[in-house]
Amino acid sequence: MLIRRLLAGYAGFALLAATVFAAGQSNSTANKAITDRMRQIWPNLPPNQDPAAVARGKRLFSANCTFCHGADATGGNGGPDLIRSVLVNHDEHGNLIAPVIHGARVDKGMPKFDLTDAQVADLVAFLHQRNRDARLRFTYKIANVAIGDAAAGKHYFDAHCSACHSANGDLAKIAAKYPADALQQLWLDPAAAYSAAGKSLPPSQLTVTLPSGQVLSGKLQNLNEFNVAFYSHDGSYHSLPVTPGMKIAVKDPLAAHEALLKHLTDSDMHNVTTYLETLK
Amino acid sequence: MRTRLLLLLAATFWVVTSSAQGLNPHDLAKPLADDWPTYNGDYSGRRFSHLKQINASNVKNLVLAWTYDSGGVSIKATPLMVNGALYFTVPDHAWAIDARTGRQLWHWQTKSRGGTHIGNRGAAMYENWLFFVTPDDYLVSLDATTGKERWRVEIADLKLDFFSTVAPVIIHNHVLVSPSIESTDNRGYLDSYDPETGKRQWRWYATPSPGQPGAETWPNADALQHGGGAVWIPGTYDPNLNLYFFGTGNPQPVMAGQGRKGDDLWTNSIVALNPDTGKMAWYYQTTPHDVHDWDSAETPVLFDAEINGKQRQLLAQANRNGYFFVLDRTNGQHILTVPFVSNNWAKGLDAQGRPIPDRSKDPQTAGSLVFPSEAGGTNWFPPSLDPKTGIFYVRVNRSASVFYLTDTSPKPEAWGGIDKSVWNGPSSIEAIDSITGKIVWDHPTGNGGVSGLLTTSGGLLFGGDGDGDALALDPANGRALWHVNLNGTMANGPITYSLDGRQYVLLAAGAKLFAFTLPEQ
Repeated sequence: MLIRRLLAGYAGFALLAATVFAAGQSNSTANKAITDRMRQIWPNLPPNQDPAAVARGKRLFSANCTFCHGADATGGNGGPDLIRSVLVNHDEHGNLIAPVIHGARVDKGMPKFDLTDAQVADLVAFLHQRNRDARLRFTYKIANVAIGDAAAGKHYFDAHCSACHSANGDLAKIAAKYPADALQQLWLDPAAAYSAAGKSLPPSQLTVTLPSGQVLSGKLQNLNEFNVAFYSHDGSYHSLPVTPGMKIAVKDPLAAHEALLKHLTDSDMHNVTTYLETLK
Repeated sequence: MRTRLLLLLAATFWVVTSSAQGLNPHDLAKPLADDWPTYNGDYSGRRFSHLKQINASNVKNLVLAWTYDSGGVSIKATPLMVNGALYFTVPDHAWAIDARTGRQLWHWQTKSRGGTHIGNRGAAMYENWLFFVTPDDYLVSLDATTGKERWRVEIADLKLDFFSTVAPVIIHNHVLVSPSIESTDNRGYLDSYDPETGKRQWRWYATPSPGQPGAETWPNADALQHGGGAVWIPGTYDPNLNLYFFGTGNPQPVMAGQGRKGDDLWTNSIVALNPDTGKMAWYYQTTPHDVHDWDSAETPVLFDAEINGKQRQLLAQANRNGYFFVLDRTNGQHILTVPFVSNNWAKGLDAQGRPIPDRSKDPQTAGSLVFPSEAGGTNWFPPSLDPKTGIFYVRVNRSASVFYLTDTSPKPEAWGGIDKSVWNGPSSIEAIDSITGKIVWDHPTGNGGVSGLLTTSGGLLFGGDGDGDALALDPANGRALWHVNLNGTMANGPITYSLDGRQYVLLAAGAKLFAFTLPEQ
């Protein structure tokens, strides 16, 4: 729709940011769309590693490597960052990493480790998975966002949201359906949730008053400075040139959400989300 | 027999007009005339053409001369027009087509090794050779007549997640190119290559080396050597000062700044350097310690104007962070900073005219609501400036995101955070007075307008809206004088050129090119 249409082709990223919201809802169609889109933009995206190997590699890393390379492999006490590392990034199936583990850089202070080939393979899987995870911001986990004051959130809700929504009605148990970060995104921008669920947005209602005084109305399909298009109540499609003297009024059912953003403080935002989190 | 003769004649004619003498790099310093030989037309970045056959009174008569469908990938390149041939690119592809008819002369393509495929800004020309980059970090040179590859050189390490989109810029015997940074914490740079051999002449890094002035704006050597500052967009050039002007991108890690405390020079800066040596003459930082991905890569547009009775050599940039900057281009001295779109991340301006970030609007673990979003108040869309009026025309987007800090460790990696778009508001084309910073007019273009802009001596401003409408506006007041719906996202910069006494306006929508001209008399 006019107001909320995704920015098709917009650097790819705005689109991804909006669609990726679907991941919070385990929507497999949306997840596939994300994966397809990621493949299109990043044809050489490093593959996911075997999760069991990554888990074993992580344990080995914790036991042997974290003292120098840090718990997250981002560098520590003298050991370099292995996420940015040229060697790790150029490694394929351990061809560069294995020799280093086995003593190729003893002269540079990297001790030799007596690990089996299988153990080295697990460490390599862990490092490559860490690298992939660091690259893909769309897989980053958002921490707890319900850090506000639920009572203050309820106060804000009563003042700004209760004309359309009710904690016992349409929003009953809303927190049971969504993780807190998805819930926050949902109430800030409900349009994204519609797209993510593959549903079309609730249509904006259009009223056009022609210079003759004739009034036309229906569901808005598109509006710009040259053309207005809509479906009238009998389902028929109309497309009219916008002319001087024509009066156009649009009522967007989601406009109240958009209006909130202008004056919303970060503490309002956290308070409301914290309040909504209580609706379980 | 007769047909054969005609074909022979045609072939001879084509050879004469098309493969002639190529493009002398000295001619690039001349004002823009009938051709469109570089990304911005000429070195100034103004995208202002003196052609005026198509003008405010006859623009309504424009007719379609031809279209060309390149296949499926959105054209983000500004085409070149040299000696009757158009050259343009999308990732892994380049084309030459006849600028009079739209007929294909050749199509070059390559199998990609990878790299982020979000777009390609176009090609550059030197003599009869064409230069462009590929997403997998090659600088490729072709013979412009045949489309045959002369050589390719690797300009960046693909395995480190570098990729390439920029249109090369030719100055003297230098091909200036730079890779982009996706996620991995790399150090941005600008390179110069020899157009004959492809040999690298110099490299300028976007962050200082340890011990160099500017290094004190980083906490340690590791941070600055992985500090980002990719050069995304082709720059501009002043032949008299022999300075190349360009913007640098965001610091790395992108959204988690706790591992790179300080201003993080020379990321998010406008930089001037000598193209013969790669030595920096001056810099001006537009966003200190950026954590919102607001690259300062947008085109620095060159113009001269009188300020307080004194003739000044200036540079203007509408920045992704939502502010319009004017600098003295001889020395980087600050002249003007004004917001051209509302924001909630800056508390005011410091003594150097830089916005002062409100650190409560940095990404937070529970989210901070920020206007504009990561996409910024404007972005790669080429702006335009009319040198006679000093009016700067820019594509503006209005948006908001919630920025989340996801990596709270002392040494975050890559993005370290994520932004979730919560509002994609109306876009517009804005006219800004470069001397006062006043917004002269604002023409709404619906949601999602991303086209670049072009102004002409015909009293016209060409661009597009978010609905696929090509627009010609009156540059004085923003009134629409002509429009046609091309039904595709207009994501490049429109150009204009003249052949056989006819002016053409070339627009792209989606993967298609559309050439408009006036009806034959």
